[in-house]
Amino acid sequence: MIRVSIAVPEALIASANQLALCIGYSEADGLTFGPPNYQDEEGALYSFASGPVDPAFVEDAVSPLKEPEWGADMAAAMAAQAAVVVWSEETPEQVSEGKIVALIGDDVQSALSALGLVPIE
Amino acid sequence: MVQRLFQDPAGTIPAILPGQPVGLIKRLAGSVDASQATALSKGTLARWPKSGVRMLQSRNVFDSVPLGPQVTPNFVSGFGVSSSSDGINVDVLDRGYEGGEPFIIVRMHGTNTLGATKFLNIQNSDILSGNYPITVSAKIALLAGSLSNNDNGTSVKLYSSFRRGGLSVNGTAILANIGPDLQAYTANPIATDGIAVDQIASRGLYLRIPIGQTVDATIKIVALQVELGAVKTPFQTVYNPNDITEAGVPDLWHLYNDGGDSLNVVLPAGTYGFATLNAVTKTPQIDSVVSDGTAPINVLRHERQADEILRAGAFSDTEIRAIQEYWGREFG
Repeated sequence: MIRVSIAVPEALIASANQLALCIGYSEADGLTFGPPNYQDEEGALYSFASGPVDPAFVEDAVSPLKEPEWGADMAAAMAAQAAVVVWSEETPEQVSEGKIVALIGDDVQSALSALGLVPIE
Repeated sequence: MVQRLFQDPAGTIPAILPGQPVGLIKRLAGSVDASQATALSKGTLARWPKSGVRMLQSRNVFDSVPLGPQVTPNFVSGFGVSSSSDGINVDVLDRGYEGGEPFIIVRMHGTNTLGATKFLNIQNSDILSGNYPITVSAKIALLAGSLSNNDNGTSVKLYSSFRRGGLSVNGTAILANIGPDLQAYTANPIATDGIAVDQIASRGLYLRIPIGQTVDATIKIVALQVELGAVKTPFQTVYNPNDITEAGVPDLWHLYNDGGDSLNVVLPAGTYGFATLNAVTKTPQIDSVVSDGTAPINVLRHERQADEILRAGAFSDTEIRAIQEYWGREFG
């Protein structure tokens, strides 16, 4: 198991949930990203989700998508996939309105700090 | 013992190790289970020592640090290990556990070409706010080579510092007179500044190499710990924030909620006694909840939750005391 934390800008939440349907484990993964719960320093809103997953979850997010048996909007899923970037020490991505940033690491608070997110005021 | 925690809502994959998701809690009695099918909304099974967590690192083991020359800085250990640069090579020769305590053996060799004093660190950094003392300690041995015990020479120090307004405020570091046998060292504690907020704090160990100096030193570091408080306490092994153990102290198993997690039950309409135990404060929250028969009720309401009781009908005062006493014995 690895822990992945993902920040999705408000405009991409619906598409990101379609991507989650493709790479997730059940139809319930279409609910992964709820209404925005964090913001960046400029006040832009994001939906943040984190949890332990198989490494394949992250690998699938950056691999050619397959429509799952429970169905998904593949166009939306592919649009979200095109926006995915993976945070690393070498390329420390900050959140922005056009990016879905995924960070692998055990410490959720460190992930939020690394991504530049704070709770919505 | 009956397995009650499972990774999947169907109850086919047990949750038994720290870090595993919990998608189902099977009831001890009654007619409903608590479940969560969305992968990133599942709580995480975790264990901490019953005595609480004192270490500040998110990880203080070295088993993920790559062996050999350090080409790029790595943070997988929870401590950043400096990479080879400015004429100084950093090689990780070994890492693992000794007597249950994590160790790392690092060789630093070469000539400092930086044009200034060079510092090679095994440190971590994070954002702190508040006012509290921090203590850094470790057992250190010099396995090969030589070091100066002079503050102006090539030397090893433990340290803790924080940065306020772009300026470094350094904690007192000790000069480690290290020899071939492991010795325990503790840096003088530093208190963070309660006035400033969101301070960048760094602490750990560094090798100080003066300008132009040549060094070849192999250092063994065991049980490098950074903790709250002004005194060194027994070592706690932090594999990750959800897997922390202390020798001789029982584990407190619990569920970690990252803020977006839930475990839901759909109950018949009515009033229910609802009790949960905060795993960090050991404080019970005992009240009641009303179900409309349709909307799910989330039983995971603390960031770290050790237990929960949900039953038809509000708890009486006698029952509340009984729950408090039971949890006090089990988790105190």
